[in-house]
Amino acid sequence: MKKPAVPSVTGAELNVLEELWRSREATIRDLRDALYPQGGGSKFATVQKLLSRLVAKGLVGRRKAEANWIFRPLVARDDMIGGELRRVAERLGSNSMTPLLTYLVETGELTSKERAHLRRLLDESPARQPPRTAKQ
Amino acid sequence: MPWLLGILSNVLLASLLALAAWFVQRRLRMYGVARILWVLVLIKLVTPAVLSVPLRQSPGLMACTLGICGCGQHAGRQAIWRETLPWALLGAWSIGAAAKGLIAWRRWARFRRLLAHASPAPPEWQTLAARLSLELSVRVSPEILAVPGRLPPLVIPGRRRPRMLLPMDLLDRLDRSQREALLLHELVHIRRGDHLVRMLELMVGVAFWWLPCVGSIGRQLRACEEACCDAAVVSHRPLARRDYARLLLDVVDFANPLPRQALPQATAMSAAADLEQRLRSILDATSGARRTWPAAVFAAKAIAVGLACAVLPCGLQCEFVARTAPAAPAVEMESVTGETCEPGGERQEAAFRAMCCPS
Repeated sequence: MKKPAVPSVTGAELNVLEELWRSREATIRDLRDALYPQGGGSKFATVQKLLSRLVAKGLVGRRKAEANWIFRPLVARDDMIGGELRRVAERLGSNSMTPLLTYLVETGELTSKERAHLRRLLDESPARQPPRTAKQ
Repeated sequence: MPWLLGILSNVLLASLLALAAWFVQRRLRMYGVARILWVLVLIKLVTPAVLSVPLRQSPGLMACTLGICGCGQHAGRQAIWRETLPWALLGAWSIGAAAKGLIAWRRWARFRRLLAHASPAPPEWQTLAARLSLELSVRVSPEILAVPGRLPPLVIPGRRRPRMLLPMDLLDRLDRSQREALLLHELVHIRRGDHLVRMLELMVGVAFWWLPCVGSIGRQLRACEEACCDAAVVSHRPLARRDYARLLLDVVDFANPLPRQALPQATAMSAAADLEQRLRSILDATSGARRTWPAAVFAAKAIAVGLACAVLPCGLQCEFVARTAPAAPAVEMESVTGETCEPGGERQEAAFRAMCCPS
Protein backbone atom coordinates (compact mmCIF):
# COMPACT_ATOMS: atom_id res chain seq x y z
CA MET A 1 0.00 0.00 0.00
CA LYS A 2 1.27 3.40 -0.97
CA LYS A 3 2.40 5.66 1.86
CA PRO A 4 0.61 9.01 2.14
CA ALA A 5 2.74 11.96 1.06
CA VAL A 6 4.59 13.63 3.92
CA PRO A 7 3.55 17.28 4.27
CA SER A 8 6.11 19.97 3.52
CA VAL A 9 7.76 21.78 6.44
CA THR A 10 9.68 25.01 6.81
CA GLY A 11 13.30 25.21 7.90
CA ALA A 12 12.36 26.20 11.46
CA GLU A 13 9.87 23.35 11.71
CA LEU A 14 12.50 20.94 10.46
CA ASN A 15 14.84 22.08 13.23
CA VAL A 16 12.19 21.30 15.83
CA LEU A 17 11.63 17.89 14.27
CA GLU A 18 15.39 17.24 14.29
CA GLU A 19 15.49 17.87 18.01
CA LEU A 20 12.48 15.63 18.58
CA TRP A 21 14.06 12.82 16.55
CA ARG A 22 17.18 13.18 18.66
CA SER A 23 15.48 13.27 22.06
CA ARG A 24 12.40 11.15 21.11
CA GLU A 25 10.20 13.12 23.52
CA ALA A 26 10.46 16.68 24.79
CA THR A 27 8.52 19.48 26.41
CA ILE A 28 8.35 22.99 24.96
CA ARG A 29 10.88 24.14 27.53
CA ASP A 30 13.32 21.35 26.58
CA LEU A 31 13.02 22.27 22.91
CA ARG A 32 13.47 25.95 23.59
CA ASP A 33 16.61 25.26 25.64
CA ALA A 34 18.03 23.05 22.90
CA LEU A 35 17.16 25.26 19.93
CA TYR A 36 17.58 28.71 21.50
CA PRO A 37 20.05 28.41 24.41
CA GLN A 38 19.95 32.17 25.01
CA GLY A 39 16.24 32.44 24.36
CA GLY A 40 13.60 33.91 26.62
CA GLY A 41 9.84 34.11 26.72
CA SER A 42 9.49 35.10 23.09
CA LYS A 43 11.40 32.01 21.98
CA PHE A 44 9.11 29.87 24.14
CA ALA A 45 6.16 31.25 22.18
CA THR A 46 8.01 30.64 18.90
CA VAL A 47 8.60 26.98 19.71
CA GLN A 48 5.01 26.64 20.88
CA LYS A 49 3.78 28.07 17.58
CA LEU A 50 6.04 25.78 15.53
CA LEU A 51 4.86 22.76 17.51
CA SER A 52 1.21 23.65 17.02
CA ARG A 53 1.83 23.81 13.26
CA LEU A 54 3.57 20.45 13.29
CA VAL A 55 0.72 18.93 15.31
CA ALA A 56 -1.78 20.35 12.81
CA LYS A 57 0.20 18.72 9.96
CA GLY A 58 0.12 15.40 11.76
CA LEU A 59 3.89 15.21 12.08
CA VAL A 60 4.06 15.54 15.85
CA GLY A 61 1.90 14.02 18.59
CA ARG A 62 1.46 15.21 22.17
CA ARG A 63 0.26 13.91 25.51
CA LYS A 64 -0.38 15.57 28.81
CA ALA A 65 1.96 14.69 31.68
CA GLU A 66 1.13 16.49 34.89
CA ALA A 67 1.22 20.18 34.00
CA ASN A 68 3.22 19.87 30.77
CA TRP A 69 2.62 18.76 27.20
CA ILE A 70 5.10 16.12 26.02
CA PHE A 71 5.71 16.12 22.27
CA ARG A 72 6.98 13.23 20.13
CA PRO A 73 7.55 12.82 16.38
CA LEU A 74 4.98 10.82 14.42
CA VAL A 75 7.02 10.58 11.23
CA ALA A 76 10.32 8.80 10.70
CA ARG A 77 13.33 10.94 9.98
CA ASP A 78 14.17 9.21 6.69
CA ASP A 79 10.60 9.53 5.42
CA MET A 80 10.53 13.20 6.26
CA ILE A 81 13.95 14.10 4.83
CA GLY A 82 13.43 11.85 1.82
CA GLY A 83 10.08 13.44 1.04
CA GLU A 84 11.50 16.94 1.35
CA LEU A 85 14.52 16.13 -0.80
CA ARG A 86 12.33 14.65 -3.47
CA ARG A 87 10.01 17.64 -3.47
CA VAL A 88 12.83 20.16 -3.79
CA ALA A 89 14.66 18.01 -6.34
CA GLU A 90 11.54 17.93 -8.49
CA ARG A 91 11.36 21.69 -8.46
CA LEU A 92 15.04 21.97 -9.26
CA GLY A 93 14.95 19.28 -11.88
CA SER A 94 13.21 18.62 -15.12
CA ASN A 95 9.84 20.04 -14.16
CA SER A 96 11.36 23.37 -13.33
CA MET A 97 12.89 26.12 -15.41
CA THR A 98 16.05 26.09 -13.31
CA PRO A 99 17.56 22.65 -13.64
CA LEU A 100 20.64 21.94 -11.53
CA LEU A 101 20.50 18.18 -11.27
CA THR A 102 21.78 15.54 -13.65
CA TYR A 103 19.55 12.50 -13.33
CA LEU A 104 20.29 8.94 -14.35
CA VAL A 105 16.82 8.85 -15.82
CA GLU A 106 13.96 11.30 -15.55
CA THR A 107 11.18 9.38 -13.91
CA GLY A 108 8.40 11.77 -13.09
CA GLU A 109 6.26 11.64 -16.19
CA LEU A 110 5.58 7.96 -16.75
CA THR A 111 2.33 6.23 -15.89
CA SER A 112 2.23 2.64 -14.63
CA LYS A 113 0.85 1.54 -18.02
CA GLU A 114 3.78 3.10 -19.85
CA ARG A 115 6.23 1.53 -17.42
CA ALA A 116 4.66 -1.88 -17.96
CA HIS A 117 4.96 -1.40 -21.72
CA LEU A 118 8.66 -0.56 -21.40
CA ARG A 119 9.25 -3.55 -19.14
CA ARG A 120 7.55 -5.80 -21.72
CA LEU A 121 9.72 -4.31 -24.43
CA LEU A 122 12.82 -5.20 -22.45
CA ASP A 123 11.64 -8.72 -21.73
CA GLU A 124 10.65 -9.47 -25.31
CA SER A 125 13.46 -7.93 -27.29
CA PRO A 126 16.62 -10.01 -27.54
CA ALA A 127 19.84 -8.07 -27.14
CA ARG A 128 21.11 -7.87 -30.72
CA GLN A 129 24.70 -8.91 -31.17
CA PRO A 130 27.10 -7.02 -33.39
CA PRO A 131 27.69 -8.64 -36.78
CA ARG A 132 30.74 -10.88 -36.63
CA THR A 133 31.89 -10.18 -40.19
CA ALA A 134 31.56 -6.46 -39.90
CA LYS A 135 34.63 -4.79 -41.32
CA GLN A 136 33.69 -1.17 -41.53
CA MET B 1 20.35 51.00 -28.27
CA PRO B 2 23.37 48.95 -29.27
CA TRP B 3 22.96 46.57 -26.34
CA LEU B 4 19.44 45.68 -27.40
CA LEU B 5 20.59 45.01 -30.94
CA GLY B 6 23.48 42.97 -29.54
CA ILE B 7 21.08 40.76 -27.58
CA LEU B 8 18.79 40.31 -30.57
CA SER B 9 21.80 39.49 -32.72
CA ASN B 10 22.92 36.86 -30.20
CA VAL B 11 19.45 35.34 -30.09
CA LEU B 12 19.32 35.19 -33.89
CA LEU B 13 22.74 33.57 -34.24
CA ALA B 14 22.03 31.20 -31.36
CA SER B 15 18.81 30.19 -33.11
CA LEU B 16 20.77 29.31 -36.24
CA LEU B 17 23.15 27.23 -34.13
CA ALA B 18 20.19 25.58 -32.44
CA LEU B 19 18.76 24.60 -35.81
CA ALA B 20 22.08 22.99 -36.69
CA ALA B 21 22.18 21.20 -33.33
CA TRP B 22 18.63 19.95 -33.78
CA PHE B 23 19.47 18.63 -37.26
CA VAL B 24 22.60 16.86 -36.02
CA GLN B 25 20.71 15.36 -33.08
CA ARG B 26 17.48 14.30 -34.74
CA ARG B 27 18.55 13.51 -38.30
CA LEU B 28 22.19 12.46 -38.06
CA ARG B 29 21.88 11.07 -34.51
CA MET B 30 25.39 12.29 -33.64
CA TYR B 31 24.66 12.98 -30.00
CA GLY B 32 28.22 13.93 -29.05
CA VAL B 33 28.40 16.65 -31.69
CA ALA B 34 24.84 17.74 -30.94
CA ARG B 35 25.70 18.09 -27.27
CA ILE B 36 28.65 20.36 -28.10
CA LEU B 37 26.45 22.42 -30.40
CA TRP B 38 23.75 22.81 -27.73
CA VAL B 39 26.38 23.97 -25.24
CA LEU B 40 27.64 26.44 -27.83
CA VAL B 41 24.08 27.73 -28.24
CA LEU B 42 24.00 28.53 -24.53
CA ILE B 43 27.46 30.11 -24.66
CA LYS B 44 26.53 32.17 -27.71
CA LEU B 45 23.53 33.63 -25.88
CA VAL B 46 25.77 35.13 -23.20
CA THR B 47 28.83 35.94 -25.31
CA PRO B 48 29.19 39.56 -26.40
CA ALA B 49 29.95 40.06 -30.07
CA VAL B 50 33.55 40.88 -30.92
CA LEU B 51 33.36 40.75 -34.69
CA SER B 52 30.53 42.57 -36.46
CA VAL B 53 28.97 41.17 -39.57
CA PRO B 54 27.25 44.02 -41.45
CA LEU B 55 23.69 43.33 -42.49
CA ARG B 56 22.54 45.87 -45.05
CA GLN B 57 18.82 46.40 -45.20
CA SER B 58 16.21 49.08 -45.57
CA PRO B 59 14.93 50.73 -42.41
CA GLY B 60 11.37 49.85 -41.51
CA LEU B 61 8.85 51.64 -39.37
CA MET B 62 9.95 49.73 -36.26
CA ALA B 63 13.62 50.67 -36.71
CA CYS B 64 12.69 54.28 -37.18
CA THR B 65 10.39 54.28 -34.15
CA LEU B 66 13.13 52.83 -32.00
CA GLY B 67 15.55 55.44 -33.30
CA ILE B 68 18.07 53.00 -34.71
CA CYS B 69 17.57 53.64 -38.42
CA GLY B 70 19.92 56.57 -38.63
CA CYS B 71 17.29 58.84 -40.06
CA GLY B 72 17.21 62.23 -38.40
CA GLN B 73 13.74 63.16 -39.53
CA HIS B 74 11.76 62.13 -36.46
CA ALA B 75 13.93 63.37 -33.68
CA GLY B 76 11.09 64.33 -31.33
CA ARG B 77 9.29 61.02 -31.45
CA GLN B 78 12.49 59.00 -31.39
CA ALA B 79 13.81 60.86 -28.39
CA ILE B 80 10.88 59.73 -26.23
CA TRP B 81 11.42 56.10 -27.19
CA ARG B 82 15.17 56.33 -26.85
CA GLU B 83 14.94 57.73 -23.36
CA THR B 84 12.07 55.59 -22.07
CA LEU B 85 12.34 52.23 -23.74
CA PRO B 86 15.81 51.19 -22.55
CA TRP B 87 14.94 51.89 -18.92
CA ALA B 88 11.60 50.14 -19.19
CA LEU B 89 13.22 47.08 -20.75
CA LEU B 90 16.06 47.09 -18.25
CA GLY B 91 13.62 47.35 -15.36
CA ALA B 92 11.45 44.51 -16.62
CA TRP B 93 14.49 42.34 -17.28
CA SER B 94 15.96 43.06 -13.84
CA ILE B 95 12.74 42.17 -12.05
CA GLY B 96 12.37 38.93 -14.01
CA ALA B 97 16.00 37.91 -13.62
CA ALA B 98 16.04 38.73 -9.92
CA ALA B 99 12.84 36.77 -9.30
CA LYS B 100 14.07 33.78 -11.23
CA GLY B 101 17.51 33.89 -9.62
CA LEU B 102 16.01 34.23 -6.15
CA ILE B 103 13.67 31.28 -6.64
CA ALA B 104 16.53 29.13 -7.94
CA TRP B 105 18.82 30.19 -5.10
CA ARG B 106 16.22 29.47 -2.41
CA ARG B 107 15.44 26.03 -3.81
CA TRP B 108 19.11 25.23 -4.20
CA ALA B 109 19.89 26.41 -0.64
CA ARG B 110 17.04 24.28 0.69
CA PHE B 111 18.27 21.27 -1.24
CA ARG B 112 21.82 21.76 0.06
CA ARG B 113 20.55 22.13 3.61
CA LEU B 114 18.63 18.88 3.33
CA LEU B 115 21.79 17.20 2.07
CA ALA B 116 23.25 17.71 5.52
CA HIS B 117 21.11 14.70 6.45
CA ALA B 118 22.74 12.51 3.81
CA SER B 119 25.38 10.01 4.83
CA PRO B 120 28.42 8.60 3.00
CA ALA B 121 27.59 5.65 0.80
CA PRO B 122 28.51 2.14 2.07
CA PRO B 123 32.22 1.24 1.75
CA GLU B 124 31.68 -1.30 -1.04
CA TRP B 125 30.10 1.41 -3.17
CA GLN B 126 32.98 3.77 -2.42
CA THR B 127 35.52 1.11 -3.40
CA LEU B 128 33.68 0.27 -6.59
CA ALA B 129 33.41 3.96 -7.49
CA ALA B 130 37.14 4.48 -6.89
CA ARG B 131 37.98 1.55 -9.15
CA LEU B 132 35.67 2.74 -11.92
CA SER B 133 37.01 6.30 -11.60
CA LEU B 134 40.46 4.93 -12.33
CA GLU B 135 39.13 2.95 -15.26
CA LEU B 136 37.47 6.04 -16.73
CA SER B 137 40.36 8.36 -15.80
CA VAL B 138 38.04 10.68 -13.91
CA ARG B 139 40.29 13.44 -12.60
CA VAL B 140 38.09 14.69 -9.77
CA SER B 141 36.53 11.79 -7.93
CA PRO B 142 33.07 12.64 -6.66
CA GLU B 143 31.74 12.55 -3.14
CA ILE B 144 29.31 9.67 -3.00
CA LEU B 145 26.38 10.09 -0.64
CA ALA B 146 23.43 7.94 0.27
CA VAL B 147 20.19 9.85 0.69
CA PRO B 148 16.78 8.84 1.99
CA GLY B 149 13.73 9.03 -0.19
CA ARG B 150 12.75 7.85 -3.62
CA LEU B 151 14.99 10.04 -5.72
CA PRO B 152 16.55 8.76 -8.91
CA PRO B 153 20.37 8.67 -8.69
CA LEU B 154 21.78 12.04 -9.65
CA VAL B 155 24.86 14.25 -9.77
CA ILE B 156 25.00 17.80 -8.46
CA PRO B 157 27.80 20.36 -8.49
CA GLY B 158 29.70 20.71 -5.23
CA ARG B 159 32.11 23.28 -3.84
CA ARG B 160 35.30 21.29 -4.34
CA ARG B 161 34.13 18.22 -6.16
CA PRO B 162 30.85 16.98 -7.59
CA ARG B 163 28.47 14.99 -5.47
CA MET B 164 26.80 11.78 -6.50
CA LEU B 165 23.54 11.12 -4.67
CA LEU B 166 22.35 7.53 -4.47
CA PRO B 167 19.04 6.62 -2.77
CA MET B 168 19.63 4.33 0.20
CA ASP B 169 16.68 2.07 -0.53
CA LEU B 170 17.81 1.47 -4.10
CA LEU B 171 21.36 0.44 -3.25
CA ASP B 172 20.46 -2.98 -1.86
CA ARG B 173 18.15 -3.85 -4.74
CA LEU B 174 20.82 -3.76 -7.45
CA ASP B 175 23.07 -6.63 -8.45
CA ARG B 176 26.77 -6.16 -9.12
CA SER B 177 26.40 -5.61 -12.84
CA GLN B 178 23.74 -2.95 -12.32
CA ARG B 179 25.84 -1.27 -9.64
CA GLU B 180 28.74 -1.00 -12.05
CA ALA B 181 26.48 0.33 -14.80
CA LEU B 182 24.95 2.90 -12.47
CA LEU B 183 28.29 4.20 -11.23
CA LEU B 184 29.76 4.16 -14.73
CA HIS B 185 26.88 6.26 -16.01
CA GLU B 186 27.25 8.87 -13.29
CA LEU B 187 31.04 8.93 -13.56
CA VAL B 188 30.81 9.52 -17.30
CA HIS B 189 28.56 12.50 -16.55
CA ILE B 190 31.23 13.83 -14.20
CA ARG B 191 34.08 13.18 -16.63
CA ARG B 192 32.21 15.07 -19.36
CA GLY B 193 31.49 17.97 -17.00
CA ASP B 194 27.72 17.77 -17.37
CA HIS B 195 27.22 19.05 -13.83
CA LEU B 196 29.07 22.22 -14.85
CA VAL B 197 26.88 22.58 -17.93
CA ARG B 198 23.92 22.65 -15.53
CA MET B 199 25.40 25.79 -13.98
CA LEU B 200 25.73 27.39 -17.42
CA GLU B 201 22.17 26.37 -18.17
CA LEU B 202 20.99 27.98 -14.96
CA MET B 203 22.90 31.19 -15.71
CA VAL B 204 21.41 31.41 -19.20
CA GLY B 205 17.98 30.56 -17.80
CA VAL B 206 18.17 33.49 -15.38
CA ALA B 207 19.51 35.99 -17.94
CA PHE B 208 17.13 34.86 -20.69
CA TRP B 209 14.03 34.18 -18.60
CA TRP B 210 12.01 35.91 -21.27
CA LEU B 211 13.11 33.53 -24.02
CA PRO B 212 10.82 30.48 -23.98
CA CYS B 213 13.09 28.24 -26.04
CA VAL B 214 15.80 28.19 -23.33
CA GLY B 215 13.91 25.46 -21.46
CA SER B 216 13.67 23.42 -24.64
CA ILE B 217 17.39 23.85 -25.28
CA GLY B 218 18.05 22.44 -21.81
CA ARG B 219 15.87 19.41 -22.46
CA GLN B 220 17.57 18.65 -25.78
CA LEU B 221 20.96 19.08 -24.14
CA ARG B 222 20.08 16.62 -21.38
CA ALA B 223 18.78 14.12 -23.92
CA CYS B 224 22.12 14.29 -25.75
CA GLU B 225 24.03 13.91 -22.48
CA GLU B 226 22.08 10.80 -21.57
CA ALA B 227 22.59 9.31 -25.03
CA CYS B 228 26.34 9.94 -24.77
CA CYS B 229 26.50 8.38 -21.30
CA ASP B 230 24.46 5.37 -22.43
CA ALA B 231 26.84 4.84 -25.33
CA ALA B 232 29.85 5.13 -23.03
CA VAL B 233 28.44 2.62 -20.53
CA VAL B 234 27.57 0.15 -23.29
CA SER B 235 31.01 0.50 -24.86
CA HIS B 236 32.69 -0.18 -21.49
CA ARG B 237 30.36 -3.04 -20.54
CA PRO B 238 28.98 -4.40 -23.84
CA LEU B 239 27.79 -7.62 -22.23
CA ALA B 240 25.85 -5.78 -19.54
CA ARG B 241 23.62 -3.78 -21.87
CA ARG B 242 20.50 -5.68 -20.80
CA ASP B 243 21.36 -5.19 -17.12
CA TYR B 244 21.83 -1.50 -17.80
CA ALA B 245 18.48 -1.21 -19.56
CA ARG B 246 16.88 -3.09 -16.66
CA LEU B 247 18.56 -0.68 -14.25
CA LEU B 248 16.87 2.29 -15.93
CA LEU B 249 13.47 0.65 -15.60
CA ASP B 250 14.18 -0.37 -12.01
CA VAL B 251 15.01 3.24 -11.18
CA VAL B 252 11.83 4.43 -12.91
CA ASP B 253 9.80 1.92 -10.90
CA PHE B 254 11.63 2.85 -7.71
CA ALA B 255 11.04 6.57 -8.05
CA ASN B 256 7.42 6.40 -9.21
CA PRO B 257 4.93 7.61 -8.40
CA LEU B 258 6.34 11.02 -7.65
CA PRO B 259 4.18 13.75 -6.14
CA ARG B 260 4.64 15.95 -9.15
CA GLN B 261 2.92 18.88 -10.74
CA ALA B 262 0.26 18.06 -13.27
CA LEU B 263 1.85 17.52 -16.64
CA PRO B 264 0.12 17.60 -19.97
CA GLN B 265 -0.40 14.20 -21.53
CA ALA B 266 1.68 15.16 -24.55
CA THR B 267 4.69 15.59 -22.30
CA ALA B 268 4.11 12.22 -20.68
CA MET B 269 3.85 10.49 -24.04
CA SER B 270 7.00 12.19 -25.19
CA ALA B 271 8.86 11.09 -22.05
CA ALA B 272 7.76 7.48 -22.51
CA ALA B 273 8.70 7.59 -26.20
CA ASP B 274 12.10 9.06 -25.35
CA LEU B 275 12.80 6.36 -22.78
CA GLU B 276 11.65 3.66 -25.20
CA GLN B 277 14.01 5.04 -27.83
CA ARG B 278 16.78 5.09 -25.24
CA LEU B 279 16.16 1.47 -24.26
CA ARG B 280 16.13 0.37 -27.90
CA SER B 281 19.46 2.12 -28.49
CA ILE B 282 20.99 0.44 -25.45
CA LEU B 283 19.77 -2.99 -26.48
CA ASP B 284 20.83 -2.57 -30.11
CA ALA B 285 24.40 -3.83 -30.18
CA THR B 286 24.81 -3.03 -33.87
CA SER B 287 24.31 0.70 -33.42
CA GLY B 288 27.94 1.34 -32.60
CA ALA B 289 29.22 -0.80 -35.46
CA ARG B 290 27.47 0.98 -38.30
CA ARG B 291 29.92 3.81 -38.74
CA THR B 292 31.74 3.83 -42.04
CA TRP B 293 34.91 5.80 -42.72
CA PRO B 294 35.66 6.88 -39.15
CA ALA B 295 38.21 9.45 -40.36
CA ALA B 296 35.61 11.13 -42.57
CA VAL B 297 33.09 11.12 -39.73
CA PHE B 298 35.66 12.63 -37.41
CA ALA B 299 36.53 15.32 -39.99
CA ALA B 300 32.85 16.14 -40.49
CA LYS B 301 32.39 16.45 -36.73
CA ALA B 302 35.47 18.68 -36.42
CA ILE B 303 34.26 20.93 -39.24
CA ALA B 304 30.77 21.21 -37.71
CA VAL B 305 32.13 22.10 -34.29
CA GLY B 306 34.73 24.47 -35.81
CA LEU B 307 32.09 26.35 -37.80
CA ALA B 308 29.91 26.60 -34.71
CA CYS B 309 32.82 27.93 -32.67
CA ALA B 310 33.50 30.54 -35.37
CA VAL B 311 30.00 31.92 -34.85
CA LEU B 312 30.61 32.61 -31.14
CA PRO B 313 32.46 35.94 -31.43
CA CYS B 314 30.29 37.21 -34.29
CA GLY B 315 27.45 39.67 -34.06
CA LEU B 316 25.08 41.09 -36.64
CA GLN B 317 25.11 44.83 -37.17
CA CYS B 318 22.36 46.48 -39.14
CA GLU B 319 23.36 49.06 -41.71
CA PHE B 320 20.30 50.73 -43.08
CA VAL B 321 20.37 51.82 -46.69
CA ALA B 322 17.79 53.36 -48.95
CA ARG B 323 16.76 50.92 -51.65
CA THR B 324 15.15 53.56 -53.82
CA ALA B 325 18.28 55.64 -54.15
CA PRO B 326 20.86 53.40 -55.77
CA ALA B 327 22.70 56.28 -57.45
CA ALA B 328 23.20 58.21 -54.24
CA PRO B 329 26.66 58.22 -52.65
CA ALA B 330 27.33 55.90 -49.78
CA VAL B 331 25.73 57.02 -46.57
CA GLU B 332 27.99 57.58 -43.63
CA MET B 333 26.13 57.13 -40.43
CA GLU B 334 26.29 55.60 -37.03
CA SER B 335 23.36 53.44 -37.74
CA VAL B 336 23.32 51.50 -34.51
CA THR B 337 23.38 54.35 -32.11
CA GLY B 338 21.14 56.43 -34.32
CA GLU B 339 22.54 59.61 -32.91
CA THR B 340 23.78 61.09 -36.10
CA CYS B 341 22.39 60.86 -39.56
CA GLU B 342 23.87 62.62 -42.51
CA PRO B 343 22.02 61.67 -45.67
CA GLY B 344 24.12 62.07 -48.70
CA GLY B 345 21.67 64.26 -50.52
CA GLU B 346 18.08 65.35 -50.82
CA ARG B 347 17.20 62.26 -52.81
CA GLN B 348 18.53 59.99 -50.08
CA GLU B 349 16.77 61.96 -47.41
CA ALA B 350 13.48 61.76 -49.23
CA ALA B 351 13.90 58.02 -49.65
CA PHE B 352 14.53 57.57 -45.93
CA ARG B 353 11.55 59.67 -45.06
CA ALA B 354 9.30 57.73 -47.39
CA MET B 355 10.32 54.40 -45.86
CA CYS B 356 10.54 55.32 -42.22
CA CYS B 357 7.47 57.44 -41.86
CA PRO B 358 5.17 57.28 -44.85
CA SER B 359 2.77 59.75 -43.29
